[in-house]
Amino acid sequence: MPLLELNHVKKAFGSLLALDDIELSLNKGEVLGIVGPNGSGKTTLLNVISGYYHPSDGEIAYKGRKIGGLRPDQIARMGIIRTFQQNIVYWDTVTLENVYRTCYLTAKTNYWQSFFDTPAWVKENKELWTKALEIVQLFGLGDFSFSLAQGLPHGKQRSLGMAMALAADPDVLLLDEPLAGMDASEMEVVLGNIRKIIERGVTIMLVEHNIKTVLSLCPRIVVLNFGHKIADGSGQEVLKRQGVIEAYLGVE
Amino acid sequence: MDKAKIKAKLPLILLLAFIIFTIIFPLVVKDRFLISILIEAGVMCLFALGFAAVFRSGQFSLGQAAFLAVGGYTGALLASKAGLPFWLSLLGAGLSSAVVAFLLGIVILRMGGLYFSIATLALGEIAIIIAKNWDSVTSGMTGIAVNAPIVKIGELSINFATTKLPYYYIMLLLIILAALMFWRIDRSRLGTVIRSVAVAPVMSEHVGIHLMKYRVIIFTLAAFVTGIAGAFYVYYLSWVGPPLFAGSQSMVALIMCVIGGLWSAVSGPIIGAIIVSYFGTMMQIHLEGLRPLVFGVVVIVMIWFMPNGLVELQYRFPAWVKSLFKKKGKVPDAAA
Amino acid sequence: MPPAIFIDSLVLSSMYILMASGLVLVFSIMGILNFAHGQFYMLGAYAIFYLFQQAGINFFVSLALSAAIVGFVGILVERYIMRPIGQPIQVVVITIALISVFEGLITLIAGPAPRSVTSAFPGTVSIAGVSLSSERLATVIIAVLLIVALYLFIQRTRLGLAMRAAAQQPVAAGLFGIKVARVSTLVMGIGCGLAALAGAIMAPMFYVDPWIGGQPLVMALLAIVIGGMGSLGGAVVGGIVLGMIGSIAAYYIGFWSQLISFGIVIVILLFRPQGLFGQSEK
Repeated sequence: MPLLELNHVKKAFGSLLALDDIELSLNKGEVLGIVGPNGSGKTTLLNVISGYYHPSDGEIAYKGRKIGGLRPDQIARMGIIRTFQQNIVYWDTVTLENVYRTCYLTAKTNYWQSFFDTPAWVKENKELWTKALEIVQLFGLGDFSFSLAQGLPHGKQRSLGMAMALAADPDVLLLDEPLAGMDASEMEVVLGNIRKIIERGVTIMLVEHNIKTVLSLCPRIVVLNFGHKIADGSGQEVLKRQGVIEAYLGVE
Repeated sequence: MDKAKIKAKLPLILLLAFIIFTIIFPLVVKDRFLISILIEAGVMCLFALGFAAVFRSGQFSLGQAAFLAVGGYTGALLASKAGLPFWLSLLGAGLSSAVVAFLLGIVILRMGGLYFSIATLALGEIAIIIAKNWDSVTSGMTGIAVNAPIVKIGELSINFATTKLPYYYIMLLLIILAALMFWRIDRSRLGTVIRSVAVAPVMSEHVGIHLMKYRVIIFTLAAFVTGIAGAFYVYYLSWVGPPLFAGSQSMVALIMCVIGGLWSAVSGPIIGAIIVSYFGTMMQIHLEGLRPLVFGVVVIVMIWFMPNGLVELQYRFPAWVKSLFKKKGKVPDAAA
Repeated sequence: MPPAIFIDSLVLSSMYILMASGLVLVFSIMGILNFAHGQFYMLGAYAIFYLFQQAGINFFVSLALSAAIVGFVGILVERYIMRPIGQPIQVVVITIALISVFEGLITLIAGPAPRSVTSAFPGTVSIAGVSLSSERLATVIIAVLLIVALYLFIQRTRLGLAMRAAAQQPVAAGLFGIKVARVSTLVMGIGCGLAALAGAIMAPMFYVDPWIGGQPLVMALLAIVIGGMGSLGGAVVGGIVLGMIGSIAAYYIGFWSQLISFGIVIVILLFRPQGLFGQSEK
């Protein structure tokens, strides 16, 4: 059974149909690429899956359960985590603590224990910080642990965003255009980060504009155009489809 | 080794010394007027603590004074009409404020910070209007008179009518309790989560944090403390009536917190409340209108010249985190 | 329902519409809500007191002067106190602090005691056999004229068009040759001037003291929440709704009508948070 399934999912904003009758499935362990020209609905798709928007119609099923209409935090708790195209970080503090805060779901002790500094809490707190440090170092941000997250260079912030997402223990990670605005060297870093996440066994749905990258990372690709799915298959198959080339280059 | 230990414990020692100072103070300084100012400052301390807590969860509660009113009237009614003893009236006042806050909070906290602020502003105004007009309950402009309480602690019976001194100590106790509570919350995991909710709600929501739950918790808790403050104030004045809860009270809370500094959950609001209360009363005596003017200007000047004042909320944390790692001998790649 | 109550509801509605429109205009310039907006109402009332009541200047001239003076003050405040500050949350705190500043300043200058302004339109008129207060009637007429004038100005004049363009798309407007900075200044002045006008025309009907700005602010905020933040038309609708409830409901059920106003706002926020005319986000 697929891990994530979208059935006839629609999302409308007033009269604008951002997603039209989307049928999509994501299997455990997959790395699925979502591509399409600007405005094709890629980010809307992620927003709908993560709960930021509610679908206007259709069903989204995750691990067999319907998640359409749930709050983002409920969906996150089930294991779906996402990154954001605009780097959202906790601007009031340093890099390390940013990742510490997104370890929220890992913490098991309750609040009363943390009020009274019980040994159980002290121990778990140390584990949380250790986990945060480990992830920070994994993404090459170790040197920046104690720099203000807000002041990080663009590329590092992008990595931080991914680190924060990974800290939330995702089963499924939705990556929202992680390469946007990156130069060549930054791209390499981000790609490396994505590979590390894949190594950890996280199922990935990658929304990207950069087709070359998607082809190199994703065995399967879905193409969107104007809110419709127009292709679904391996890179080779998809590129051969007439509609796909037209979508990007325009019809003559 | 000894020096280092003493240095580490220094803040705690200072705090204890300060508390002892505040305890001895009224016994040594017999200035009644000063003590009454301090008692009123104490009420404002609790008020500021509540406002600060809500602010640190990401919301501007511009009508927090409404909870002073709810607590004040509830306390007055419990004391005079139901004849409840002192502590129970205070508790009842706190609970009623908390209930009102909870019911309102689950509705208005959904709406986003701006609408929440507008709603609380409207709430503040409505509270005054209800207080003025709901004659059957609040006795309108006449207000409700409250007898000075007689508190029995074991064999000892303290009659508050004779001297204001017991009020001072009760106030001190309340402040210590409230400060302790907010401080512990701030340093705990709950505090971390609340900061997350305040600073980047969208991100926090997407890593599993239920925003509304935490906003409502803090809002309710702040109202509880504010309600108790209101009831205490009413006991102290032996009266409750609409003029006590003028519309701009909530603005005063903001001013206190900005002046005291929002970088701390506890010391900032308390310091700000004391400063504003003390100097405010002094100014009010000498020149009407000077107080709001000066404080307004001070806030504006502070925003102008300390623009990061509000941003540096958690600047202490990096140092604390570093110390955490250094203790166990684990140092990150390149300690900053 | 007695006609006097109906007139009262028109009076209240007019006041709310003027306040709310001004607030929307200021919001379009500053990007945040000016919590000190009520203070311009209060300043307008004091202006009419000094110009009309004390100095005896013709009522209409006083009105115009009040609007101009307070509008100018608003421009100064925006440019020199608020614009240099970066973060919106800080500007909001400043507007809140300004409430105290203005209240305190006026208390120092004019004293805390309430003042009254005698009406420029004393007595009553008889219309269709019904006796109505001239003051209230005149207030409504003046207010309607102002609102219509505002509408015509924004919708029909080039300057109004420039204002709308500058508010919605400042960069594009600039490229088209519209001096956005100047237009913004004008809008700010008009916005604050409207608040002053509201205060000035209402002054003869109530008293004037440093704290009268509080309630109009709250009502203006509620009105634009009902109508939608960015919408002038919404401000009008919101003002009418609140004005109607404020007087008609108040006539029948007294002060609980305030709760009804609040309740309506809450309901709208729950089910249509962008207001009746605002634009949806989700």
